[in-house]
Amino acid sequence: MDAPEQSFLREKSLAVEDQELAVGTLEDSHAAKPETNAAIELPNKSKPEKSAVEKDREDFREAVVKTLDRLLFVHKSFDIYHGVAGLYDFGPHGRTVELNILSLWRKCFVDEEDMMEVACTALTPEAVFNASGHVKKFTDLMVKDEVDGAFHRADHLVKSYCENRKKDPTISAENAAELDKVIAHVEDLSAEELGGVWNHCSTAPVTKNPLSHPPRPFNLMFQTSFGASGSLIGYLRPETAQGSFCNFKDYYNLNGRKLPFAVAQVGRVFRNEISPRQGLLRTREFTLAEIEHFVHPEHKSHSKFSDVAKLELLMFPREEQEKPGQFAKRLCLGEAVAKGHVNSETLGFFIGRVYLFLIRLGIDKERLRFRHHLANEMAHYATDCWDAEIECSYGWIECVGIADRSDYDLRAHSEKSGHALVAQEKLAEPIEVEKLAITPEMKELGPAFKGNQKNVVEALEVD
Amino acid sequence: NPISIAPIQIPMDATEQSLRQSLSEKSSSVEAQGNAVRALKASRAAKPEIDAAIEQLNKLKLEKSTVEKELQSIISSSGNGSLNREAFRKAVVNTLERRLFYIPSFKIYSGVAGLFDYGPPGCAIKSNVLSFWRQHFILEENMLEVDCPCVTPEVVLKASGHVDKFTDLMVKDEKTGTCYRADHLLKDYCTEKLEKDLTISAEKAAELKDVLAVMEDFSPEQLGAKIREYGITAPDTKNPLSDPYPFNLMFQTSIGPSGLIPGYMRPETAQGIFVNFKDLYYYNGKKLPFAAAQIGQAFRNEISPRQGLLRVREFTLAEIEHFVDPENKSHPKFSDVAKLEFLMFPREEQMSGQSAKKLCLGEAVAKGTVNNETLGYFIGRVYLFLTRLGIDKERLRFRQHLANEMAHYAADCWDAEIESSYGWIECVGIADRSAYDLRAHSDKSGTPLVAEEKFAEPKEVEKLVITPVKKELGLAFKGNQKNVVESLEAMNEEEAMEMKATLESKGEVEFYVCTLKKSVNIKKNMVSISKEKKKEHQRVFTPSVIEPSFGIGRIIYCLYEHCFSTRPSKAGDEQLNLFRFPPLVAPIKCTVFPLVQNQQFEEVAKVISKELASVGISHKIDITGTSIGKRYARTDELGVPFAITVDSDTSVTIRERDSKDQVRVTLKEAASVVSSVSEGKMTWQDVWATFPHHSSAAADE
Repeated sequence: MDAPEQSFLREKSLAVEDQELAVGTLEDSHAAKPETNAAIELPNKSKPEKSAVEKDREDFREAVVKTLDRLLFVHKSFDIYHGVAGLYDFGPHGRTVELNILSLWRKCFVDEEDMMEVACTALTPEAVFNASGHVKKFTDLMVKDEVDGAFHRADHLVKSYCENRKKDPTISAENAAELDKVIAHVEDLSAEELGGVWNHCSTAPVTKNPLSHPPRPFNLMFQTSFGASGSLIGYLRPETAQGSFCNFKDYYNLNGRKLPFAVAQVGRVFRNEISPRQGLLRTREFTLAEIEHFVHPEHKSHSKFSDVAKLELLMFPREEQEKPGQFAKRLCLGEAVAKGHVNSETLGFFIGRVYLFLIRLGIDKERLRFRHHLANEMAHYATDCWDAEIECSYGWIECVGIADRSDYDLRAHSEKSGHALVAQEKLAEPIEVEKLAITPEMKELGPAFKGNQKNVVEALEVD
Repeated sequence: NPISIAPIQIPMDATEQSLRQSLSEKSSSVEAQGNAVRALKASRAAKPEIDAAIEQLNKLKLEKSTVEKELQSIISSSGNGSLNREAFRKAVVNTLERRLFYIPSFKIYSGVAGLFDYGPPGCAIKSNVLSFWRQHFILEENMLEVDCPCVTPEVVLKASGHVDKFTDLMVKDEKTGTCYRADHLLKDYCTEKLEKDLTISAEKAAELKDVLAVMEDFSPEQLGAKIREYGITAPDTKNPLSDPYPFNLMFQTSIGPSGLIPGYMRPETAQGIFVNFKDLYYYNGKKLPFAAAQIGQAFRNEISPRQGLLRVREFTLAEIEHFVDPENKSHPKFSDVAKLEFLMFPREEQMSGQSAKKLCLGEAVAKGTVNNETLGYFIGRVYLFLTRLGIDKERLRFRQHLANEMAHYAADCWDAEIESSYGWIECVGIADRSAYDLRAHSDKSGTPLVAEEKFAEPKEVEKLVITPVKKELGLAFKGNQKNVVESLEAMNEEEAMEMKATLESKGEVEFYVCTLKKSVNIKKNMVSISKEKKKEHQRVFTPSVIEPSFGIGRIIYCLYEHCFSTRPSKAGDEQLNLFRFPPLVAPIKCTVFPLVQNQQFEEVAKVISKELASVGISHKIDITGTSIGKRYARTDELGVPFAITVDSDTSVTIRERDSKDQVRVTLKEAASVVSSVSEGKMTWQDVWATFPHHSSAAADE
C-alpha cells in the first residue's frame, strides 16, 4: 500500500516545515522574549521525529528497491561477477517502462513541436570537449583514504558532516542556518572554498582513516582512444548536446535557414562517478533526452506561450530561496514570465511543457517543483536556469534542467573549429554600416617585423 | 534510364578463365609476330614480304584488343568489378549526405574515421526499422527485452573470450607508423590485380582468387609471408610494412577513479543477456524455450575504417538469445515458415564453386542442410523481416558458414547476406552456438547458469561415484593433496573406469595431474571408484543458444541502395533521384502542398495537417512558392510515398510516388486514405480502384 506510506511521509515533512515556519513568524513580529524562547525550543523537540522520518524514508526506499529487483524492473549489472557500482540493467518490465516514457516524450516534444530528432555518436574526439570546456571543468573534487586507497567525493563528505552536525541539539540557530547554506551549495564549492569546512572532516567514513589533502579534481568522463596508435584521444560523451551543436550548420540549412528551430536527441551518456551512491539516481551510464532550441537572441518570445501561460505550478524563485524559511509556492507561469522571474517566454514555454509531460507520466504534482538556480549555481554564460525537482525518498532530486545558455556553445565551437556556426537574418531595409578597411603595405611591414609579418597583417585587418 | 543495379550475374569463372588463357596466347602471338617483322627488316627482305608480316601483326593486335575488351567487360560486370558499382554508390551517398540522412560525426573538427551521425530522416528510418523489429520479433514471439550497460568490466569479456581473441591482424608502415589491416591490404592487392592487370596468366588469376577465398583463415605468419611474396607496401608512402600482429578491437577504458578496474565498451549486446540468464529463466517461470532480446550500441575500434557506413566504430545491434533444450530443438511454429523459398547457399555448394539457389526452407531442414528446426525458424523469420523492410529478395541470400569460418563450439551458422555496391554484405548472423556462452560464464563466475527438466516419472540411472580417500592422499602428496583430489574428481567416466580396472589388476596407476604438470602414483587405497544406481527426478543441463544478431546500420545502408533509383525529369535534361521506401520505413509518410501560394489553400493544408497528426502520420507541409513539379521531385528524393496537393477547398489529389498516379478525394477522406495506405491496411491498387483518377500532365517536373 504505497499511498498511505507516501501520505505519511508527506505529513511528517509538512509537520516539520510548519514548526519552522512558526519560528520565523514569531521572530519577525518581535514577540516578547519568553514567547520566542518557547517557540525556538519546539524544533529541538521535533528533531528526533525528523530522524524517524528519515528512517521511514529508508524503509520505504528499501521496499521499493526490493520489489523492483524481484520483479526484474532493474537490478545490478554483471551480478554473477559481483557487479560494478553505478551500473544497472533494465529487465523486461523496466525496459518497457523506459520505452513507454520515451515514446510519450517524443509525442509531447518532438512531434508536437516539429523538432528534428537526430542521433550522434557516444564516442567523441577530444577536440570537441576541449571546445566545450569539459576536458578542464567536468570534474568532481576527490580525496583518498590514505590507508585502504578508497576514493571519496569531497563534497559528499562535507555534506554528510554538515547533516550530522545539524542533528546536534545544542547548536545555535545561526549555526544551523550556516550548515543549511553549505549543504545547499556544497556541490558548487571550489577546492579553496571547501577548505574552510574541510578541516572538520579529515577522516574517511567507516574506516576513520586519514584522507589525502587537499582535494584533487577528477575528470568524470570515461577516456579511451581511437584506432591502433593510441594517440587519438576520445571520450564517451557525458551529454548528447555537443553533437547537436557541432552539426548546427547542417541542421540550420535543412530547416530552410529559419529560426527558431529545435534539435532533439535521445541517447546513452556516461559519467565515471567517483563512488556512486543514491542507487538509480546517480549511475555511471544512463539515458538522456535533450532538446536544443535555437532562437534569435533578440526575439525570445514564443508563439505558443499562451498554451501554458495559465498553468499554476510549484515554483521556487531565486529571491525566495535566499530568504530563510521560505518554500516553493504555487505561481501562475504567465505572471512569472511577466514579472521577470522567468527570463523569457521561450524558457517559460518549456517550463510549462515539462510540467505537463511529467504529470502526464504520473508524477505527483504536489511533489514536483521548479527551482530557480542561484546566481552561484549558474555557469557564467547562462542567463537563466530552472530545474524540475521531484521529491522522493532521497529528498528533492533534479530531474530536468531547463537552461538558457545564450550563445556560449555555438560560439565556443565556432572559435575552436574555425567553422562559423551562425545564422543570417535578411533585413527589410539595408542598414548602412561603416566598415573600416585597412590595406597593409606588405613591403614596408616585412623588414620591420620579419617572422611576425603574418600576425601583424592579420591584426590590422579589422572590421 | 534509371541508375539501379539489376541482379548481378554470378561470376562465370570458366569464361573468365578461358579469356585470360586466350589473352595470354594472343599476347605471345603478337610478340612472336613482332619479332618476325623485326627479323625480316634486319635481313632486308623484299617489301611485299615485310608488308604482309606487318599486316599479320596488326591483325593479331586487333584480335588481342578484342579479347582484352571482352575480359574487361566480364570483370567489370562480374562480382569482382567495381567501376559501375562505385558510380552507383557515389550517387546514393551524395544524396544521403545532401538530404542529411547521415553526417560524418564532428565534421567541423575534421571528424573521426568510422563515426557517423544520423540526421533527421536517417533517425526516422532507424526508428521505424527498430519499431518494426520489436513488433516482428519481441511482440510476435513474446520475447523478454532487456537493456544492459555498454561499459563492461574486463572479467565478463575475459570469460566470453573477447579479451584474448577479438582481434584483427595489423601491419604498420615501418617509417611513418601508420597502421593498416593486413588482410585488407592483401585483399586490395589481389582485387586490383584481377580487375586491372589484364596481362596476368590464367594460373595467376586462379591463384589470386584462391588467396581471396581462404585469406580470412591465414595465421599471422601466413599473412606476412603473402605480403612479402607479393611485395605489398604501405598504400600512400610505398614504405615497407612490419610483420602482422593482433590488435584488440575493443575500446578500452577504466571504471572509477583508481584505474584498477579495466573496462571495455561492449563489442556486442549478447554478454549482458548471458550473465543475466538465471534471473531471466526464473522470471520466465523456469521454462524453456524462451528468448531475451536487446537493442543497443556496440563499439569496435576498427584499425582503419573504410566501406563507409558498413564498417563503423559505433553501431546499433539488435540481438536475440533464444535459449533451448539441446536435446529438443524443434519449434512449434516452424510450419509458419516451412514453405518459404529463397536464395540459400549451403556449404557444399560453396565448396564446389556453385551459386546460391532457391530452396524450400522446410526441405532444407528436413535434409539436414540446416541443422535444426529452431535455427530454420529464425532463418525464415529473418527473411520475412528483411523483405518486409524493402530489401530486394533477389539480392538477399542465406549463406552457410564454411567449417573453417565457424567457431569451434558452433553447431551451425547462417548469414543473411545482402548484395550492395560493396558486394555481398553480412547483415544478420544466425548461429546455433550450442551451450558455449552459458558454460563459459558458469565456469568463470562460479554461478551455475543451468536449466532443469523435471521427469514425469523418476528415472533410474547409473551414476559414476569417485571418492578420493583424503587421509591416504594427504600422507602421500602432502601440500599437493588438493590438486590431486580435484583432478581425480574431474575424471570422466571412461577415464575413471580405466583407472578402476588398472588399480584392481595392478594395485597402482600413473595419473597425470594437469595443475601440477606431472604424473603421480595412485595406489588402490587412495581412491574408490564405483557406479551406483539412483533415482533422479530431474535433469540439469546447460541450454543451447540460437542467436540471430542484426547489424541495424548495415541493413539500413543496404535498404538505401535497394530503394534508390533515378528517373528522367519531364524536360529530359537530367536524372532525378528517388528513394522507393515502403511506407513502413519511409521517414515521412506524406507531404501536403498547396498548389499555389494562396491563403485559402494554405488553410486547407493546415486542416489536413492537423488530421494527419491526430492519426499519427508523420508528414510535412511545403508552402514554398516553388513549382509543384520541383516540390514533387524534392519529396521523391526523401522517399516520401504520398503527396497531398490542395488545388481546391473541397477536394484534393493524392499522388503515389513510384507510379506518379493521382486520385482525387474529398477533404474529409484525405487523412484516412493516407493513413490506410501508410499502415498497409489498403494498397495503392485498392485506392486506385476506389477513387476517381486525376490526370495532371503539367504536374511533374
